[in-house]
Amino acid sequence: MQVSSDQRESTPIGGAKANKPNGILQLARQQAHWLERFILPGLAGIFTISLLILARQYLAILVPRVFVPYWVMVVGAIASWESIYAASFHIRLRTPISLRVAEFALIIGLVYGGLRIGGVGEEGSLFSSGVWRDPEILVPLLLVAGAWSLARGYGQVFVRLGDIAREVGDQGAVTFSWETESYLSDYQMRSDRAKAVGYFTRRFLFYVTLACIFNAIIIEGFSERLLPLAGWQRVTSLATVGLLFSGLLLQASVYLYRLRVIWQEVRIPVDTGIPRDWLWSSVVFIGLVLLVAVLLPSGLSPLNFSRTMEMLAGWMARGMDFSLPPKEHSGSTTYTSPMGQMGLPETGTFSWLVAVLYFLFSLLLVVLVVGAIAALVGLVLFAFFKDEWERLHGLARIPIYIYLWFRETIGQLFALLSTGARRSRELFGRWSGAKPLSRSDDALGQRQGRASPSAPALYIRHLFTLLIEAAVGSGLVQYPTSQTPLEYSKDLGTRLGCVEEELGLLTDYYLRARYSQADFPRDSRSIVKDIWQIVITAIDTWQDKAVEEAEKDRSKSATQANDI
Amino acid sequence: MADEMHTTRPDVESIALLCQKIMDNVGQVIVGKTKAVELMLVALLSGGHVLVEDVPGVGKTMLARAMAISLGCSFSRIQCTPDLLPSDVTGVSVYDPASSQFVFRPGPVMSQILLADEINRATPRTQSSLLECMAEAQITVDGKTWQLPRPFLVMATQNPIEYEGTFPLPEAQLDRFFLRLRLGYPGEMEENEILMRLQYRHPIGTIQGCTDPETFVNMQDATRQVYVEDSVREYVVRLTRATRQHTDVVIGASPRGSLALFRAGQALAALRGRDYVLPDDIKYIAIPVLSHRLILRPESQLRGVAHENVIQELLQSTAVKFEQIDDEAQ
Repeated sequence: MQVSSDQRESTPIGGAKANKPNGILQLARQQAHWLERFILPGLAGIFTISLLILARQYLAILVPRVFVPYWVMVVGAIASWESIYAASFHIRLRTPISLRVAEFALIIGLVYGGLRIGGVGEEGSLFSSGVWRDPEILVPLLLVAGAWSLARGYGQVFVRLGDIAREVGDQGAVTFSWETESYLSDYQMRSDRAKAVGYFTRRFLFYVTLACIFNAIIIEGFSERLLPLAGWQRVTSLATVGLLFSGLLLQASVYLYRLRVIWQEVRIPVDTGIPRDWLWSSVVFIGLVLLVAVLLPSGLSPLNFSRTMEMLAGWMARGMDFSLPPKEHSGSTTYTSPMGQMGLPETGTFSWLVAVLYFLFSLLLVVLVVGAIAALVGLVLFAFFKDEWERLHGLARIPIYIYLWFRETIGQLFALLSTGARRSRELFGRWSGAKPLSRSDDALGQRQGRASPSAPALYIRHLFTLLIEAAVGSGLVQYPTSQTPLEYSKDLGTRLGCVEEELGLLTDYYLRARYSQADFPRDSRSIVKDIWQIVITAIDTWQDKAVEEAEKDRSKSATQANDI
Repeated sequence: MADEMHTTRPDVESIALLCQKIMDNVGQVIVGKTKAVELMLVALLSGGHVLVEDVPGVGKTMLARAMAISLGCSFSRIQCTPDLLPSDVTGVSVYDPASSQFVFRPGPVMSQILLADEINRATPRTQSSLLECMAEAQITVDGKTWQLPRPFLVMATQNPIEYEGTFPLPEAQLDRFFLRLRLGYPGEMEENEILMRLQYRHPIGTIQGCTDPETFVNMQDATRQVYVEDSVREYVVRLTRATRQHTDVVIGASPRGSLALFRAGQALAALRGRDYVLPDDIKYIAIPVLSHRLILRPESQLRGVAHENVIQELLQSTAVKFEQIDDEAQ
């Protein structure tokens, strides 16, 4: 079915994208489809009325002096349906609060008037406050007010659900994928939808649980009061069936409603029979469920439930009888094998079939228990982390951070060790190389035993290299790595504490020899050699002093050791 | 081949003398910022452009104006704002009713020293147009290309304390600046000196030009002749490559960075009266030339690692290798 543009603009039970409605009639006309016009309000109304009837039934047992007339149920039903339909008008038309109060007052006024006409609370005046303390007036009024409020809630959620479905459909129309992408989008659609759909589930479960509790209380605690009330059981059962039926079918219809709005919004051609088939299938399925779950136990079925269950129990008991340990073993002093204690059949009556059945039952029990526990834990975890999934992926980073931290620490440790080892090697080199230098007139020739280059530039570089070797060898400074020649000579001059001028001059010669294209005159060799000799002498003097001081320290420590 | 290219010895003494005169001249206006003036001259001699990052009121505009006067160059200023258009920078063709033709009205970029004040307030489009002028030294308007005058220096300023309403220069565009410098606040004595000098009138009105643009262009050409020994060139390359391997750096300096360091070394050597470059020149100039070309890792920035720290660390760890003792001494 191709939905026309006119149909698309029609808004079931109000809609966010609808044209602004001009009045109640126009809004009513927009509820075009039978699903939102009849089925959903009808089911919500049946649910509310069932609850109302159940409340009346339980009150008849628990508080017998409070009598709620049947006509109150009828008024309650009318009020519920009115409340559901009016909810969308109030929301869409943005009606003033006074109108809603007036609507509520009208409902309550009708009931109160009916009660007064029926002769309840005649002893007080019409508007006397004492009348409201009469339970026969207050309770019916509260029941109708409760039903009205409950139904109003349903009406409002229908509107909200319609809006959400329309927005989902709208997104779907844009993304061309009407279901998956729109559900997975980040428009908070999923959480809103879950809340709206969960609303029906929560209400259904809550009221069904309440009905079960009251049923149990009445059957266990007030069974004697049931005897004079003919037909109580039947009416209660029918109301319970109505409650369950309408509640379950409402959930199925709500899902169908959402889909239908999305189809309409996205303009997907869908067979018109699908909603009807869906609804009928749901009715049949829920009917069958109720037949098994409610009607059979209530004795309303032609099948005798009690007898059927007794028969099943008998079958199971017969199977389990084999596994029971013989009674005569319990008090005897004779040896009982572990197998016997565990309940396996006696040797004489052993049967493979029974053993397999026993095993299967045990397995089933274990699976059930473990499954139930796992499901409970899963539910708790799911409920706990429901809104936290998106943040959980951050947990996966923790081991990565730990790994990175560990790697960084190890890296730094290794770097530290490596630096320590390098420095130790350097220190060891300086220490082992710190031996007295020979002093002769031609110290230059003897130091390295190398031939001096003839070109002045190379000669100057050669001298400077020897100077570095001498300084490193005497332990004055380290071998230069990241230092420039200027920095190195400054460092050396500072440590020597003298000949800084000569050292600067020598460095200047060296810099030009090393980095420029300058030509040096032949006599520069002797000039540079003289300067170099002065510096080398200073280094030797420094080393002699260092050796003397070391000797003194050594002898002093030896003397101290002898004294000790 | 390489030796043939270096046969002409540049007249570095006259370059150093003139640079000293310029520095003294600018020093009359800018007190106590010798290094900043020196670096600006380095950029000018190398034909590069300068990015000045500093707070308002420390003398950025005065420095540019004083430099322009000292060099006898034309000066113009663009106050960058978000509504500044590329045509406001380059110029625009307007219709002349008298000649019935479109006449090109040159923009402020057609000057020798251009101060682009608060460049990060201009939109990326305008920034790009300006940086294109800087890179190619020419502009094209309505299909016609105009050569920019020589020397051409853009001094762009950035205010590092304001971020709202700004368009920070992308790292790729930062790379186009030859060097980045910070003037910083003056010391106590310098600030006193400033107040004394400015008591009656601003000295910018009194300073005279020291040279002319043609002479300075010749100086720029001569600077290229400064000799760079192989080991120094290798040191430049090693240093630049080290920036790409540093653990705190995502993207290190580009080959444009190594070329800038090379040229800056030449200019600094010439400015100091040397016709050869020392490793010390490279060390001196490395931080202003390289620091703005690095992109640091976010985690390193969070740890407080600064660009300058990285370069400093590299300077302390990169070998200069000025003498191979065992090999060359024999």
